Amino acid sequence: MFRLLLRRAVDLMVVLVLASIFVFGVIRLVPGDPAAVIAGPNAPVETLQVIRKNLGLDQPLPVQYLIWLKGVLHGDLGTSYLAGQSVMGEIAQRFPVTVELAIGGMLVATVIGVALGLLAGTHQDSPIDVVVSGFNTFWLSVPTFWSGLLFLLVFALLLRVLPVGGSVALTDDPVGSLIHMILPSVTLGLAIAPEIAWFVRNGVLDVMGQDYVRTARSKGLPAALVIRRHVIRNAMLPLLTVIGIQTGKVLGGAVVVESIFSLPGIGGLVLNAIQERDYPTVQGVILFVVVVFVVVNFLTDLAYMWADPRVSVG
Amino acid sequence: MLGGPAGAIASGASSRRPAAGLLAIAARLASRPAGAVGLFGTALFVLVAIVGPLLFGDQALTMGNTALAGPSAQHLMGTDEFGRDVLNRVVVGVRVSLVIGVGAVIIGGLVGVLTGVLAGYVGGWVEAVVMRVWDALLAFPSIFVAIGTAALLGAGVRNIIVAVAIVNMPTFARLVRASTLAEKKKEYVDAARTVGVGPVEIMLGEIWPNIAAPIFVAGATAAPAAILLAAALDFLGLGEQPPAPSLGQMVSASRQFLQNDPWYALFPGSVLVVLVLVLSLLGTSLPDALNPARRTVRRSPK
Repeated sequence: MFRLLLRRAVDLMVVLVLASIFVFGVIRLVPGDPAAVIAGPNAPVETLQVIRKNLGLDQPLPVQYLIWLKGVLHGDLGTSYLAGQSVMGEIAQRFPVTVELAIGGMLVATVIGVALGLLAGTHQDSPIDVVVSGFNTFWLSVPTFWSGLLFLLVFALLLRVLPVGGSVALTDDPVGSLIHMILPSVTLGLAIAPEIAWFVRNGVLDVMGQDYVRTARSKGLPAALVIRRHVIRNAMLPLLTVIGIQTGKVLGGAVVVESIFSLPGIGGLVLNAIQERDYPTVQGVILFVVVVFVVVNFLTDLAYMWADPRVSVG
Repeated sequence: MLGGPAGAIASGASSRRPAAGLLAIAARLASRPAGAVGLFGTALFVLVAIVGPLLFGDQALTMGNTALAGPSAQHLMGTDEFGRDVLNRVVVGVRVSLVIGVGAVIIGGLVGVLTGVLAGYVGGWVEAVVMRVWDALLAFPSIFVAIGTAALLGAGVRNIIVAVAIVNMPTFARLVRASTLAEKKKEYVDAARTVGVGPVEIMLGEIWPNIAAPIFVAGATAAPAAILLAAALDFLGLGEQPPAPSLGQMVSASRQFLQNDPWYALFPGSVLVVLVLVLSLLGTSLPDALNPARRTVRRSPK
């Protein structure tokens, strides 16, 4: 168990170091001089040189990377060219909205995905299975930016039962905050649900073919009890891993969904930063998202090991 | 991401088929409802993408006097906020989507295949370095890969193709590496090596033809996802720049008029959904059509 844990942790470090090099490299490859962007046009050469020295831009690239990495490890993602504010501060201000949306989306996706997956798996090749598979294929083909718009049209503009967009802080008005998150969460969740449903269905089929299920059946347990006690419990375990992997999709999808529903999350932050060529912010947000994604995956791996001792033995 | 189907495909068909077999594959596709819809739907979209702009000319950019007109005999999908014919713009948008989808999968597949075969065949530190780089790339949610690429290269169709291609590289590389590892232990590879065939010829001339079929199927399943991702980037303003149309960008523009002119959002969006749907049906039906033996195999829980 400990060795496996250690190996996962080493893998995680390697991935994070490489990812940080990508993020650092991409921004340094951008044409144009960051000092010129900060100083503005027509700045004298002396000013540019001072800025370059302050930013460490006169150092060789590997040294610049290490300086940057040292800052990152201390939670310093640099300073936004635009706002003059620390990038970490801006992320901290906006990330709660994204987290609320991500959790909402994941909840919707898990509830729908698990329900449909169980239905389809326990009724293999029946009309139910076919309908679920049709649902999955369809929703995998619908872009969130369009389904979100349709939900907005129906529930906010025509029926007027839900707000058009925007968000309320969870701490100010919990109920209002959740109501604002219904449409965004459903939009995001429906895009993720098919993959969870597909995965749960196959998990159920796998478990149903196992010897212990046959034993349970042959000793006369009613089918419903076999499914409840043996099949579902064992088919649910890998779900943790799937949820971990889907975190990436949820974080990426959140950028689009935030844009539809005018939610002030990190999606708007990074899109605005691209428009304004505010590279430290682009860099900071991408690195932040990658770290969150990798760490969540690591945690779900841990949870899986804890829930299923077979993993750490094998 | 390629999800489950690709895994199933990897273990599926691996035999070489002559080009004459294409018709037989098409016939087998058409013999099932999902495959038939996928095949004919895709053919229809490709036809519209090629012939449509020839028929309509430059109309997609021509402004008219009637802005935001509803659907009529003259404008089947109505007009947009500048009086441009929405149908014309949708047709051009479909072409843009298809070009991006196919282009991104080909470029991404090419790089993925080359690095995957190399990693699998050579092994050692080459494999370690190549696969670690792809692992690290997989740690970036695909939208953020594209955002980083757009930050570096700027917005535009060509850069969207590059961005979506990069997203696709790691999955192809992993798939190809796995099949190469299985393949290089086989006798024909030993035989080729013994008679003095060089490593490059073995990788591309011996191994690749034997693992190609499932990779092409993986490419077919990756295309609809690539088109969806590209459309999302268009929607976010990172793709095709106005006035040139793209489906994602049209949906984005229609947002302002959702209250009074909802049909403006409905047409480009539903065409995109149908396009992606028929492409996915084609992709998911391909493995069975390529390998008829698979059809009869059914997993039974009992």
